Amino acid sequence: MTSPKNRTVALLGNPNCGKTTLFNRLTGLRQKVGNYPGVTVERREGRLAGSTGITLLDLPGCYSLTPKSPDERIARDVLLNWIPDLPAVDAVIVVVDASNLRRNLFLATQVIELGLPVVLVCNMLDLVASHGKQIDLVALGDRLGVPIVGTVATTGAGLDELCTVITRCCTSASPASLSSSGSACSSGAAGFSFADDALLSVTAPLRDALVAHQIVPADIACPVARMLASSPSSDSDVSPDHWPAEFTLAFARIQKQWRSNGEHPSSALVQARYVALQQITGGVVDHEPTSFISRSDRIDAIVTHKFWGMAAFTTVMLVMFLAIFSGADPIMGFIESGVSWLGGFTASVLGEGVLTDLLVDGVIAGVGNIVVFFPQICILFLFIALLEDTGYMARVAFLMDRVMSGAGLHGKSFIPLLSSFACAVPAIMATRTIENRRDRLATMLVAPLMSCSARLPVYIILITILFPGALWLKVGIMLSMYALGTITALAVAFILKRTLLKGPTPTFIMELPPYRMPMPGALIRNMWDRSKLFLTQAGTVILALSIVLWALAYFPRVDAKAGLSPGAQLRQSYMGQIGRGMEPIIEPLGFDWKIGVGLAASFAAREVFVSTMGIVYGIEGDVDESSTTLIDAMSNARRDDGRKVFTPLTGISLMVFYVLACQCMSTIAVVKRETNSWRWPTFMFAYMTVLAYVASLIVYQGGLAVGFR
Amino acid sequence: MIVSSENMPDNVSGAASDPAMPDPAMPDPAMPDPAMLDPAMSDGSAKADSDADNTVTLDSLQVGAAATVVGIHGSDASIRLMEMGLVPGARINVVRRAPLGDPMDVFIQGYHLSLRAAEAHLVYVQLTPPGASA
Repeated sequence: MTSPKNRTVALLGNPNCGKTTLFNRLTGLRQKVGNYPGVTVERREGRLAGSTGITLLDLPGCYSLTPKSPDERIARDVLLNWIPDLPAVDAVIVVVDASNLRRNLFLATQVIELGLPVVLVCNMLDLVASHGKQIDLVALGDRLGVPIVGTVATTGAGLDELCTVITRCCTSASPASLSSSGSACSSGAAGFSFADDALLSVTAPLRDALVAHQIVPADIACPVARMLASSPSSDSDVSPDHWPAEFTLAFARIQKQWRSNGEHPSSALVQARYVALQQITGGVVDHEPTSFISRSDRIDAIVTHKFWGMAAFTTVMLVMFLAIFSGADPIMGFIESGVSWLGGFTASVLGEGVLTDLLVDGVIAGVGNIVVFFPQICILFLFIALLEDTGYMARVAFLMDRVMSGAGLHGKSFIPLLSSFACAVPAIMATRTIENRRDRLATMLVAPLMSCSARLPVYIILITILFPGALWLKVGIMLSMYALGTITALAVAFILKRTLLKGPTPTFIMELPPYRMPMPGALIRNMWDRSKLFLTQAGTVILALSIVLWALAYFPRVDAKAGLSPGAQLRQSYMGQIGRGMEPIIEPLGFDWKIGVGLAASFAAREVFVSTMGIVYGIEGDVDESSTTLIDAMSNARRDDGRKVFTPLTGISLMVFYVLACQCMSTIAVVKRETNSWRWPTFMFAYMTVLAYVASLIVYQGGLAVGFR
Repeated sequence: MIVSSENMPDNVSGAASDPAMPDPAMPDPAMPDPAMLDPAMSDGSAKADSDADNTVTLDSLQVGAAATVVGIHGSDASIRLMEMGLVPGARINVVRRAPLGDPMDVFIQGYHLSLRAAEAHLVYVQLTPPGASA
């Protein structure tokens, strides 16, 4: 083989080891982002810059090949070629944080044992040097029996050498020096033993089962058996689907036997590896880290301080929200006028007709309703990227874990829930950082209860109609709605974690990485990758649903010559029929059919309520929440018996409904995508609708009972 | 329970009666045999000294305390704790607690790790006398 063709090289490392920076450096802008089949674990790959056929695959960060989360499972399954439809990897680059060698080498030695060609990258040498230390890379490489390259990914130092080593690794037909370690059972890398004879005999049944059921080749069955044996339990989250049932049974039987004999090898295996790592790193680092006072610690002394830490935290969150709500305003206005210009332009080009109406009112207006939130979403993701890249995100989880654990959630649930005040869609996407599946689901399912910015126009118009004057009352009601959503979210999470999503208490074992200066390029890329997903979604699911909702309001057509007003057309459309059909059901909440139409149309996006009210009440022209004619029309609207439609009680009941109901197709679509099934979005829609209905019912009927009208 | 039987010696009772171990509902603590500690991994005090009065759980330590890990109680969390470097013989410093009291920030194997009191309660440590260790 002269030049490497179509080789896949996996990039693996602990979280926070600089792996992503390295990946971006090595691949430049030629990256593809997608998901692994069947799971929403991000799959990122790119062509190695300057090579002809080497693809780099960026595996999720993990601490060990004994998986604790779907992310870590993917890393293991890719290396062992346990994922159908994915090519086997030809080599692995294992990135280790040089400032934290031993814990990082825990993972590296697990990979080396698998017998794949490994290139070890010792990253962040600058950090080591700044602490006045040195690492003997040659000695370390010799001991582990793998090529080793020292790098500083942030500056690019050492990357040329790394490219050369990777290419050579992929080119050489028989990387003899690299694959020697896998075969030997008694010894690990270059003679280091990761398990003594007692452990080997305890794990032997599992090794034999692996070979017998052809799960892995015989020469690596030994290390794989030790890896699997470290699993605390055979959790379905971390077991490959394609395992033959007989092997799964055999594995469970072996586990049971270990337990009943009191000889489960899991903790002894971990301990044995650390003992070996102590020998491997001995003398490689010129002295052990003894002091824990670094620049990072001095920052932490302030930002996790009882008083100053909380003050800094509040400030950061305030700035983030100010940026989201006011920083996005001009661009949102720009998009809104762009959308209406595009609608007007399309209408003038195409002339009148059903197709024009479909394009203008269905496609352009429908997608426009969602895309208008794009600037807010970009800003939110930019902040999340900034918090992550500096290392502050871990401190947010550290500071807020006590609050979240009260509701049975994880400190990492805080940012997604907070983001939900802007929009539930990015919030649900941000739950990907939560390792535990149940915690992540619980966070996703309650996130839409937080009052997002789409509810704001609804609150504003209702509060304006119902409580003219009285500023303190307006502010008080507004805040109550936000509080109601937040408290309900935490309460529902609490209940979910004790019922449907019951499981062992999740752990909060989290590294607090040193603070780092973020790189602008990486921030922008990070923000764009995530925001792009939102746009893709707007172009597919949301587009389709917009057309459906438009059709419901458009058909059946009455004879155009009858000259019906838009309000009358809407009244007899399918949407109007739905509204009137809903009337008996929503009557006890104090709503009439017109509000019913608003509720149904709000499924596209909540703020559509305002423009729908405009149509129902026959207001011509553009309608927004400050439109006085709409406010007048709604204020004066009467029921058939002459009572006002919008009494303070109806208004409160309606707002409570908006706080709690899941009227957002984007949220449903994103939950469907993130959970890969319709089960959870259906459940979410159902529980939120029931919750909203019951709460509104209590408010309205309770209000009537105590004499409010 | 995943700690092997040879990891559960009789000296457990001494540790369990220690007033610093607050939760009587916890199952019997599983302590590794001091003989299992590798000399390379431990400083002298952890290896030789089996004085149980000195052994407490990590959650009971004061901020600023220095200690040596002697064992981890078996549970699903314990494997991850050990993989993160909380293995017998490893030195550990309690750096701070979060403003609301939980979780805590410890310095282990050259890096900072955050864990809840409930998880720290699984970790048995032996206090290093002040000034004896960095």
